[in-house]
Amino acid sequence: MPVSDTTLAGSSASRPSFQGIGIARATYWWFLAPATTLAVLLVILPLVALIVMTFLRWNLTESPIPAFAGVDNYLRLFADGAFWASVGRTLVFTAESIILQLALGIAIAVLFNRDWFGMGVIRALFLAPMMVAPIFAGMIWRLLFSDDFGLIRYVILLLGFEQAPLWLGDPNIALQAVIIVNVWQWTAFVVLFILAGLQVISPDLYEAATIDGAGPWTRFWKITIPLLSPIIIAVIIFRAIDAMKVLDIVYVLTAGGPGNSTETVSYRVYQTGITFFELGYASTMALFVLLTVFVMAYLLLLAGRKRS
Amino acid sequence: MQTRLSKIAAIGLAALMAGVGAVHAENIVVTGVSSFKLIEDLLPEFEEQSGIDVDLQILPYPQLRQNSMADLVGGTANSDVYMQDITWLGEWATNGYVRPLDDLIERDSAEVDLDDILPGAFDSLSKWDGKTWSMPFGAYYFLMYYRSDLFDKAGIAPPKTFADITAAADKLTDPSANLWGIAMPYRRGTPIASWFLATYTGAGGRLLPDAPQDFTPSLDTPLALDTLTAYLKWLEDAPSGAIDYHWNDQTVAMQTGRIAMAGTFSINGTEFAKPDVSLVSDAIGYTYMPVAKEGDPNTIPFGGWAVAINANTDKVEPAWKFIKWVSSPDVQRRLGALNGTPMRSSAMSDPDLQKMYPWLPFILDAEEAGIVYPDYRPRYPFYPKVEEALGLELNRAALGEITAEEALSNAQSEIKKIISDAGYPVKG
Repeated sequence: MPVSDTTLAGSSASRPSFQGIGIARATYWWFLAPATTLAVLLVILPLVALIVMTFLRWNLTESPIPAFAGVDNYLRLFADGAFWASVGRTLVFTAESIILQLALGIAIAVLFNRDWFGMGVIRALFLAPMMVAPIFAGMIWRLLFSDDFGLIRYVILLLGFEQAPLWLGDPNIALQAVIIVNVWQWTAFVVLFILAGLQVISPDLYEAATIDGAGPWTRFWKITIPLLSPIIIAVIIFRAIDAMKVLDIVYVLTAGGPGNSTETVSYRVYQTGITFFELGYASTMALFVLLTVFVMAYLLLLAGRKRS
Repeated sequence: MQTRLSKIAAIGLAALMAGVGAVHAENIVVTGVSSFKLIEDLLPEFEEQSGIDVDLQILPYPQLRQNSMADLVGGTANSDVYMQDITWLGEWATNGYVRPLDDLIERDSAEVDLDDILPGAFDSLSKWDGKTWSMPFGAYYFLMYYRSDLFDKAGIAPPKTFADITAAADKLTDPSANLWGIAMPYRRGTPIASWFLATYTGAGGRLLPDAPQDFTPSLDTPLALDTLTAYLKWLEDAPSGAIDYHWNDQTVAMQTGRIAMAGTFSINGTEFAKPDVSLVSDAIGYTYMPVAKEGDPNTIPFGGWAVAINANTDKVEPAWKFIKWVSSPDVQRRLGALNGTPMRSSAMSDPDLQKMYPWLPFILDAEEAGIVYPDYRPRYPFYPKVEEALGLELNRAALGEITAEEALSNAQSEIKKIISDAGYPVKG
């Protein structure tokens, strides 16, 4: 059996020369260069720029030239009650959205995990909301929620109720309306992940449990959920990152109102940076959001590892 | 054979290039909002006459604001001509973001015919610190529109005061017929802030009465409280969804015959009067915005759009040619038929336009009387923040979270801080 030179450990013929090592290293760097360049251009540079901007007073409506502001933006952030209220609101939005999406997503995935006729088509159709750009989803739902022409109000009155809620005009309901739209749009994402997880769980486990006398509920809690937990954690991370950044549907549905009942932290960053052009302060808020999302994702990953 | 072919190809290419050169010697980029889309159909005419190729970019309002700021502040010329909202004039002029047009206007004075441009519109949209920074494009006048058929039937005279509006709204509201007395925008932000300020200005109020010497706002005055009290009272005779109304919702409510009164800009009034989009086109009355008490002088709040040349562009001549064309009497008259907001006397006096939009002579008279007021939304760079702060407090009052007094008091102190942080004198 012929043996290649490289497998001859210890043989002087197989040992690469210094020149060879140099070439190999150079090649290694050349292969890494495109990815490194992209990472620097798309992630590291903007991040560094963001951090630098947090130390500037840069209001485009006052002057195009930025001025050094020290830690003023950070001090302002800590004293900004409206900002912290928006952080709290965003956390409520994130938690509620994720809980509802997970509950619905797992239920629907379990339902879809069968070989019924036409299930393939139903699964594909179910992904449709995810394919709609959030800004259009917001516009569609604004019409549905409308108190003048809305289909939802029409159905509620048709069912015999005397009044329909003011979905977007009542500060006690508006955030729930935004959550409904988010859940409508992203539950399919959870279904997709959970369905993939369900399909790799061996039927033998269920069979053995059934023989041992476990009912469907026990099988679900003792087999399905534990085996899905890594996927559930991954889904929570993805959805949490996305929900913390929610802007588009808020922008279209409520513009942060009524009052400030739907003003999320990203909407506030958008208003400050893009409407008022206060780039320094908006960057400080954006950095806070970034760090929060980072810490949240890290903790979730840690929890996932511990569990596995 | 090959040489001959090459010669033919070369001659053909040269001819093609010459042809292209002759037809489109220059090109410019023009950026505006949806109201500019109306010129799209007329553009080929301009391109043929002038040989200038126009790349028309239509953006939503916030994107126009963002793109223009990035371009103007960055010192680039991604667009040679920008549509300028009335509230941006001070900022663009002070920072020299756009090119002053006085020399060009003087050179082409016969063509520009300044005497034909409505003075209120010209001063408000284009003049700052004695210079001309843009040319008006569309002039919007804030009026109280009402259903003349319903008013006649109920024997109600056109409303003059806050109390008249409240009484008429009460009388005409009939929930069983899905008919409501009035609807104003109450949505947080620009809708409620801008419409409240228009109502306040119509009643004789001025948000910054002593600017530019002193920028202290006047929201702590009895007139501001009277205005807000009335504005909130009208919510009782509005459709239940009005608490979330944007002005577009108000327009649709009027067009579909669900409300009897709507205070709004003439650009929206145009939509009430178009038979193809409005169920009530033949029954639209109009009058001034109400005053606090009978006999108080009337004011027409004014807004609108102008067109300006990016200070960084080197295509000044083609850009100016475009501006002259779009503001010419002929184009203004033709556009006026579509949007009802020409800024030239000749177009406003056109009998066909007056037949379509009967309030045009009323506006001409107001222009002559000098009762058109441009600064109902102060044209200073801090205005967007003022509007956001005011819009939030007014919306909270509309929701019943705070009283009218609290809303105005909160807004007064927040606005003082915003203006003083922006470096303007606030003495009060």
